[in-house]
Amino acid sequence: MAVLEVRGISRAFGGLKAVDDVSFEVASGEIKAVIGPNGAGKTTLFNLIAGALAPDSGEAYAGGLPIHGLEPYRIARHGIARTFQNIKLFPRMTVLESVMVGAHLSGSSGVFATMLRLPASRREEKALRERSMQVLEFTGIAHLAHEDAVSLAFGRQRVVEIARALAAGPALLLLDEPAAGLNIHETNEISEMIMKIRGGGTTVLVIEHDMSLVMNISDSIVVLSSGKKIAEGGPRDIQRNEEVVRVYLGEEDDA
Amino acid sequence: MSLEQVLQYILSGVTNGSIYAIVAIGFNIIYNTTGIINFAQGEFLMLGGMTAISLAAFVPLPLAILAAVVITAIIGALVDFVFIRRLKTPSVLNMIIVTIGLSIVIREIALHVWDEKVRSLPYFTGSEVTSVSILGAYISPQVLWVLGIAAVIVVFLGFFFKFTLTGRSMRACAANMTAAKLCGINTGAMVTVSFMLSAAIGALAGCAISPITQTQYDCGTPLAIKGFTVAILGGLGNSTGAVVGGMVVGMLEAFSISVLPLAYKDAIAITILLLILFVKPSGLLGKKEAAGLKEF
Amino acid sequence: MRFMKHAPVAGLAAAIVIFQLATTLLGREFYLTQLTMAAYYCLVILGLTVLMGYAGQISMGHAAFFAMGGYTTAVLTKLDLSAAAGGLPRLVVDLGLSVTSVNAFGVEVRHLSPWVSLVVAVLLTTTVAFLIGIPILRLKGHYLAMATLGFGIIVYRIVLGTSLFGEADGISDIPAFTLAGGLAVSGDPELRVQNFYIAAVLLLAGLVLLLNLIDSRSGRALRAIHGSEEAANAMGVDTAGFKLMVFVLSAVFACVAGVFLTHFNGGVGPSEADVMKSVTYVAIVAVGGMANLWGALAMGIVLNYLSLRGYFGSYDELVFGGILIVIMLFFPEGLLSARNLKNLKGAAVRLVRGKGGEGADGRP
Ligand SMILES: Nc1ncnc2c1ncn2[C@@H]1O[C@H](COP(=O)(O)OP(=O)(O)O)[C@@H](O)[C@H]1O
Ligand SMILES: [Mg+2]
Repeated sequence: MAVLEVRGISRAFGGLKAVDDVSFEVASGEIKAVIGPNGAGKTTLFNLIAGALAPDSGEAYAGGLPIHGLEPYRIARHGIARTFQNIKLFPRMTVLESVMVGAHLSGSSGVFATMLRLPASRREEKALRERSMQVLEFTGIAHLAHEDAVSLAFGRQRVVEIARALAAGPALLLLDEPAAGLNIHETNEISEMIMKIRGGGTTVLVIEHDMSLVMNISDSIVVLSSGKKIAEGGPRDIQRNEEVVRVYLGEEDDA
Repeated sequence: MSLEQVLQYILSGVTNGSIYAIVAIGFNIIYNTTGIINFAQGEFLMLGGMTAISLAAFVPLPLAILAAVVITAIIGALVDFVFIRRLKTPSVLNMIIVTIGLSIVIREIALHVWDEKVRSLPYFTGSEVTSVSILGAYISPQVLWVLGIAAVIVVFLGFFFKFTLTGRSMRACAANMTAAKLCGINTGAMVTVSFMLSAAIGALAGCAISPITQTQYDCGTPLAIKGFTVAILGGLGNSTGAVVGGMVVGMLEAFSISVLPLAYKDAIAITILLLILFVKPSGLLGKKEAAGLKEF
Repeated sequence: MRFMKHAPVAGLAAAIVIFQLATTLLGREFYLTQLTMAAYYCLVILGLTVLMGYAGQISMGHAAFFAMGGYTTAVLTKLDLSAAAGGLPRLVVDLGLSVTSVNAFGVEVRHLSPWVSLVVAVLLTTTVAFLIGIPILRLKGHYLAMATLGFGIIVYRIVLGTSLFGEADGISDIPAFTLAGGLAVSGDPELRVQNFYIAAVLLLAGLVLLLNLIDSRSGRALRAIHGSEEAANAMGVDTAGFKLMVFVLSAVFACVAGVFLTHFNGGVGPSEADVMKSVTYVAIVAVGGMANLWGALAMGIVLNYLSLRGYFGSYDELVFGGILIVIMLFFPEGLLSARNLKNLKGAAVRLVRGKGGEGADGRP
């Protein structure tokens, strides 16, 4: 069964159709890319899937269960975690604490249990910490665990965002331009990390502008333009697709 | 309820409502150029009234009012120079706390400059006993002054924002601060002007109502709350909305007296405020799309 | 780790004991009265610190919750049950929910146990905070500030305009709150020392509960909401639920403080519900460093104590208004914020090492 299925989803802002009747599926274990020029509606599509925006029409299913119109935190419980294009880290929190927020769903003790430090909540706290440290090691930033997250270098902040999302143990990870603003070296690291994440059993849906990265790692690609899906297929097909080439001509350096 | 009574209530509602509308417009002017809700708006009315009362002992009334308006406008400018400009990339929380602090400080300084006594300006024309009869309802001539002044302020502002360069620049700032800056508009100066303008119309309104409602060092806050209610009701930043909102709140308050104890009168406007905030924070006349861009 | 966490609390407890012994030895026990009151106000401030500093939700109406506690217990424990012949009053007496005490005229009266009124006050506050919190906490920024302010004013107006609540005079001659084993919350000068300890224990307990909270799964969720509500929600945090929870929690802290202080003072007046009171609480949270329970505690004790002892004279409100402005202009993160303390530490270290300026902080 598809990890994610999007059916005819649409969302307009005033008169502008930001996402217009888009459908596709993400198969379990694949890396799928969403590409398209700036303003094509890619981020809006992610917001619709993750529940940050409600769709005007259309449906989305996670593992066969409907998720459209749910609040983001409920969608997270369906195993979908995300990163943000414009980084949204928590100020005044360390890297480890931020990642522990990512692992929020693997705990259950509420306000009163934690105020009283009940044994169960203490055990849970320890488990959360361990789990989060594992994620930090997996993403190679364990040495930064006690640093203030928002004062890290830009590239590191991106990794913290990914780690935070991974800590939720998602079935599907949504990455919104994870390599934007990074240098070649850092971009390669991200590329490897995405492969590694998939290797760990997590399906990845990634928005990315860096074409070499997209072509290298993705199993399939969805192309958006002006809110509409104009093509879908493997990297080769997409590279040869005339309409895609036309849309991208002259748009190459848009970042 | 007799017809005269109804008429009396309506008149009282319109009078209070027009003052609330002026306070709301004061909020709007500053909100539009800075994104700040100036919690000290009510203090401008108090300052205008108090200053005019003190000056009226020495100079003719019109001169005292004029001087009070000018002095309050200067205080408005000072508020911007000394405090608002120093807020660098403020969070909403910072802005709220600063203007609340300002409101308290102005009020307490007024308490020490004057005292806690209730004062009032003389009636602009006539006295408390003279009245004009309209359709059987008796109204004080001061009520006509209040309505007249409110109308003049609204018309003046409409003219100012439409036809003067400064007014248009301020509107440009309201629409898009960055773009306005790029077009060479001195946005800093526009913020100062907005504080001065807001203070000046507040002071004028403060003088106009002083003979009816009287003036005291702490009379600003209740007016500010009602003005804010009206601003929200009309859609924040929307001055036509403010006038309509003012009338609605004024009327509801006036008629509430016939069913509720007087002591609860002040709670009426606030209850309305809460209801609007809960149901439709963009206001009765606010557009939903525009509201989406603002931070609720 | 555990020791480090509890050392400051133990230190505070020790300081409390030492202070009491010192005042007794020096014959200055009357200092304890205002300190006891300051401790109760601090309880409100600690709750508000979690709501405002950690979860980022401003409340300009917390005095209302304090007043709800104070007035509920005042009204309920002033009801005379001596002649309870039948119905609910009789039932209350039969269930053993009443106590007797001697009133100001030396007459013995039977009235509802303050334990019961405490429970009623907490239930009432929880319900009101819950019902009002659902719509209010959907608002942000100016709207949230105004809505909470509006709620505060409504409660103030009701208190001021209702004869049941004594209108402008408030309610006085409220009986003592006998806790257990001869301990009683009351303004009796004989009981000054034990009342100081009752307040101190309550404050310490509140502090420990909240310290536990902020350094836990729920606490991190709250801080995350402050940092980025959208990101927190995307991570599976029920942001609306947590905000509501902490709003109710802080309201209950204020209510409990109101109940205890009312019995300590033996009276409650409308000034406790005044907007200026709420603003004072906000000012102290801001000076304390916003997201800093210890800072709020320190500032809450110091400022309330000075204010209650009348050090600011007729400039009391001016002082708190001035504090708000100065803090926001020059220390927008709060005076005792982590960053300021760190800078202070850095400056001290540089001073000691005799080194000069510092480079850019390395952010891109
Ligand atoms: N919250 C919003 N309100 C109004 N317009 C929006 C909003 N979010 C996105 N848009 C508009 O929708 C279009 C698609 O934006 P986006 O999804 O961010 O594109 P992409 O991520 O592909 O660059 C753009 O024209 C953008 O201006
Ligand atoms: Mg985008």
